[in-house]
Parts: sequence; C-alpha cells; structure tokens
Amino acid sequence: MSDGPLTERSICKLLERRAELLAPVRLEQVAYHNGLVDLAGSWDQRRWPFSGVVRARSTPQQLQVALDQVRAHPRSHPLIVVPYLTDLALQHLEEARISGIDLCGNGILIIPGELLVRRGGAPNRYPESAPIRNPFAGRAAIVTRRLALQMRWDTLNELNAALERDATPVSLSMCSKVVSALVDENLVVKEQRHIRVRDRLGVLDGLARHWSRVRPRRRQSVRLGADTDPARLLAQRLGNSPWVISGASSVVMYAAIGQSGPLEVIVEDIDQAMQVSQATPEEIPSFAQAIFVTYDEPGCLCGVQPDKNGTHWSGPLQVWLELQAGDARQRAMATDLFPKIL
Amino acid sequence: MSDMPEDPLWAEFAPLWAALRTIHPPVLLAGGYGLFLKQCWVQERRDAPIVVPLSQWRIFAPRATKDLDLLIGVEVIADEQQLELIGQTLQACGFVIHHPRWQFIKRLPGNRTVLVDLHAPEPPPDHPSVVAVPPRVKNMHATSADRVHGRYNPEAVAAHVHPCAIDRHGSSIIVPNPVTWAIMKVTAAGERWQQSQSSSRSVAERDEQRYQAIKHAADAGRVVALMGIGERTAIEPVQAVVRDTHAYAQACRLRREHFTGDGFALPALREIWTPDDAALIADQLARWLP
Repeated sequence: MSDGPLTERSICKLLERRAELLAPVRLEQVAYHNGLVDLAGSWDQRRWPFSGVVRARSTPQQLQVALDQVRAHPRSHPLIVVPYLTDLALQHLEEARISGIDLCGNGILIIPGELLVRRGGAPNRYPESAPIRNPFAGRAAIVTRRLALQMRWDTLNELNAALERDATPVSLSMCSKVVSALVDENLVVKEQRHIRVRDRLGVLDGLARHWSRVRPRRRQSVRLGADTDPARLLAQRLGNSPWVISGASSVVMYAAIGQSGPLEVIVEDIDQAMQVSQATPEEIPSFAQAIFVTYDEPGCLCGVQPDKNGTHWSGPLQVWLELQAGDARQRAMATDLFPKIL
Repeated sequence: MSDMPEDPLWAEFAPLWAALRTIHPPVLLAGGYGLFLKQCWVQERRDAPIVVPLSQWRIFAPRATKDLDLLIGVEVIADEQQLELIGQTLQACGFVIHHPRWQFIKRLPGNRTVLVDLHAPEPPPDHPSVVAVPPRVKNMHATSADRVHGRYNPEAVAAHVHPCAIDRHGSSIIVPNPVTWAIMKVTAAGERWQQSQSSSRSVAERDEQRYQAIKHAADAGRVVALMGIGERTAIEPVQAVVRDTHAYAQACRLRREHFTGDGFALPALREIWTPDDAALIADQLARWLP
C-alpha cells in the first residue's frame, strides 16, 4: 500500500520495482513520460514491447478514458496500467483485445497469435475513497432512480428540485456526490453544468443488482370491512396521506395478469393507517385484503403513480425492481415489463 | 403443484350420493374422502382464499383412502322411511352389510373394496325413538329389513350446523363445518396415539396405531388449512352448540396434549406445511378447541 495518494508517476515507480510484468512474463524495462509508459516483457526467450497509458484511478470511467487514449494513439502493443483491475474490467480488456495490468497482480496480456496471459482475483490493495460508497443503495439510490427515469438535466439544482417535488428530498451535496460516483462508474457524464445519463441500461443494472427489500419494521394483515376493491377503498380512505401499493402488488397496473392475495401497502405509520382506513387486524394472512407494512428504508414511499381513483400505485421502475428480484414467474414478468421503463 | 391425482372412488361414490340427495337433513361426507374432494374443489377455485393457500403446501397430494364416511343426523335415524331408503340405496349401488347395519362393503374387481361407514352423533337422552347403544345409534322402533343404524360417533356433534356445500363434477357435496370436523379428527388422532403407546399391543399393532394417529393429525391440519373465509362465520355458532358436550371437552384436551409443545402432531403438520404455516394451523386449532 502506498503512503499517499497514487499518481501516475508513483505507479510507474512501483512498476520499476517489479520483476514480472504479469507472471510468468518478466518485466524488462519501464520508461515513463507524460502519462505514457513504454514497457517490455519477456518469456521463454521472447521479448514484446508494450506502449501504455497510466491512470491513477481505477474507476470504470478512468478505464474507459485509458482505453480511448491507447486506441487513439496506436503505437506498439497497447497496454493500460491502473491501480486495480476488477474481473469485469479484465473482461472488458479481453473483449477489446487490449492488455492491462494493475498493482495487485491482476492483468491480461494479449498479443494476437503470440501471447495470452490472464490473471485475476487478487484483492484490491489500493481502495479509493469514493465520494459516496454506493450510488445504487440507500438514500443515494433515490437520486440514481430519478436519473434512470429522466436522462438529461440542465443543472444539479434542477435534479434536486425534482426530488423535492417528488416528496423525496435529498440534499444538494448528496445529489452532487451521487452524480460524481455515477460519473466514476462511467454511467453519467457531466458536460459543463449539464448532467446526462450515458448508459441507462448500466444505471438500471446497478439499481437491480443492489435492490433488495429490507425486512419490514412492522407488518399487519388487515381487512377493510367491505368486499369491494381494496385498492379503491384505500384510495377513498387514505386519500393523499403518504402510502403506496408495493411494486409486486402494483404489477396489475402494467401487465395483463390476474393477481390474488392481499395488497401490500407501504405506509408511514401502521396504527394511523389502520385508524384512517377503518381496518381491522386479520389473524389469517391469506384472508387479509391488505397488508400494511412500514420500512426503515429511505425512499420506500417514492415513485407513487396515482390513478384516476386516487390509488397510489408504484411506478414501473419500482415494479420492475421488485419483480426482477422475485421468483421465476416474477422475473419473467420483469422481462416483459422492461420495455415500459425504457 | 401437481395436478390433482386420479379419483377412482368417484365412480362408486357419485351414484350413491345422487341417490341419497333426498335425505333430510342431508347426508354429509366427512373423513379422508371428504377432505380429498374439498381439496379438489379448492384447487379449482384458485382465487378463493383458504387459510393456507395450496401453493404453499409442501406435500400437496391428498392421502389415499378407500372409505366413505357418511354422517347421518339423528332426525334421519328417527325416520324409518329414510333409514329404509338409505339401506335400499346402498344395496342398489352394490354395497352389502359388513358390520351390522352401519358398515357396508362393495367388492370390486382386482381384490379392491370400498367401505361405507354411516356415522351418527349422540342422540339426546330423552329422544323418543333414537338411542345410542355403542357402537351403534339406532331407531328402537324400526323393523324394516332394509333399515340401517349409525355408527356411534359423539364427535360428530353439531355436524349439521353450518355445513359447507362444495361442487365436484357438477354435484353438490355437503361436508361438515370445520369445528365438528376438527373435533372428529383431533379425537381420532388422540385416541390412536394413546393406543400406539399401549404395551399390551404388539410392535406391529403399535406402529399401525401410530401411523393412523399421524394420518388423523395431518387431516386435522387439512381441515384448518382448507377452510375458506366464508366458513369462518360458522366457528362461533358451532362452538356455542358444542361448548357443553363431552366430545368437545375431550377434543380440547387432546388438542392441548398433542398439538402443542412436544406433542406428536406438530411434526406431522410440519411434514405438510412450512413451520410458519404449521404454527398458523396449530394456532387456529387452539382457537377452535381451546
């Protein structure tokens, strides 16, 4: 581990101390000049020159910048050097047929027809302090979801104001950190003050990979005292208070499927919701018309899409997120629903 | 979930049931076959909620049975014409007396047999014509050669209060209310279990009794799990009728003994349902049979 923040020059200094470019290929030469590095490797009495680009950060965005650089200035065998290469990054390099090494022992050397060495799985010895730990989880996900729904914003303030309007306020500083983290992930670009999602599928994939419903703080199965449509009854009785039918229970709004069983309804306060909706507890869950739940998860009440009756359904993004994390039948429905959120 | 299994008993049951539909109060179908038909009916009505949805059952296949357990009311036994009709119907459908006047057997090709048991609840002690002479309940004035008796079954108490009509192949089949059915099954389970613990029996006999006890315990679970939301309204009225009977007190005691803690019945429920659903079933049973 280095003492201070890594720079392109300090990375080259560390390279100079190495005996191997990527085992078993020996490192014969390192010469650094203006962010570019010339290296030579040898194995089995053969020697290969590499012309590389060094980047001091390992984010997907920096990796993409390095790839663009080596492609733009083809010299001898292209190679990039970053502090750490994930398995996904190695896969991208292999697909691009460009060599890359890191300071942790991972890398891939590709010389078509002559050499292919790939090593991965070594842990990251140079973790970076990111502006935000995970832009797809917790409160940060509220910002990322908004970006998934609208791909262009003139300013950060405009994004921030939209979140206020959605009743999911997030501080301007948090918005800024999330956007920066997504830029690092190469999913969003900042062009002067404008913010643009460049890889919407990547944003959705990140949200899907990190989405999981946390354990509810409390659940209460209830009957609403009338055998009419419970969604309509709830709209009449809960009105504009904060409540939303969960994504899994909202699927009927977006797909022509029959659904039975109680509606899962996310509320802020179960006791209050029961009082206002004149609900009574139901001891047998399958006889319930609705299940009121409360979560500690930030933003669990966001993305409401009221219908003409005032029923607070979840939006298609939330429905898709819940379905894609569900059972086989739900995952199949998520696939069908996906075009609706694009 | 697999499709419903074949129902070879239907061919024997359907003509008998059709011929008995004029009996009043109606004959009820209980026992394992009653539960089987109820499960078939529930499966066809996918949107009608039951206590434990069939999709959550670990073992979905209903148990096989070759017995038809029919419940007849005391009023039927009091009416000699109806007793005669039942006897003649059984004969016409190919059943012959197996246990004098309350159990009938039909022999089928391939060494198969079908048994019909006619169960009857305990008659009131001051009834003018019907008496309980265990193991039978009979009309002491009836003389017809075709008359039948009921098998003395005090656990069938209040069976005709809020019975449930189910549909199978276009026929309306009437089954007992869930509380009476649970009293019958919990009592059968408890009594069989007690016999399985008897040192005077052989190992094989004890094993058989233990098997039967577990089977009846699982059936008690099925009675609860298959209850629809409409049947729930029957629970309190039935409890009000049975509250002071010996059969109810005994079923409550056996439920407390075997369907709680280390009782033998809970593992039987967990074979068929998840631990959460088995706990829900045990909890409902405790409300019905406190």
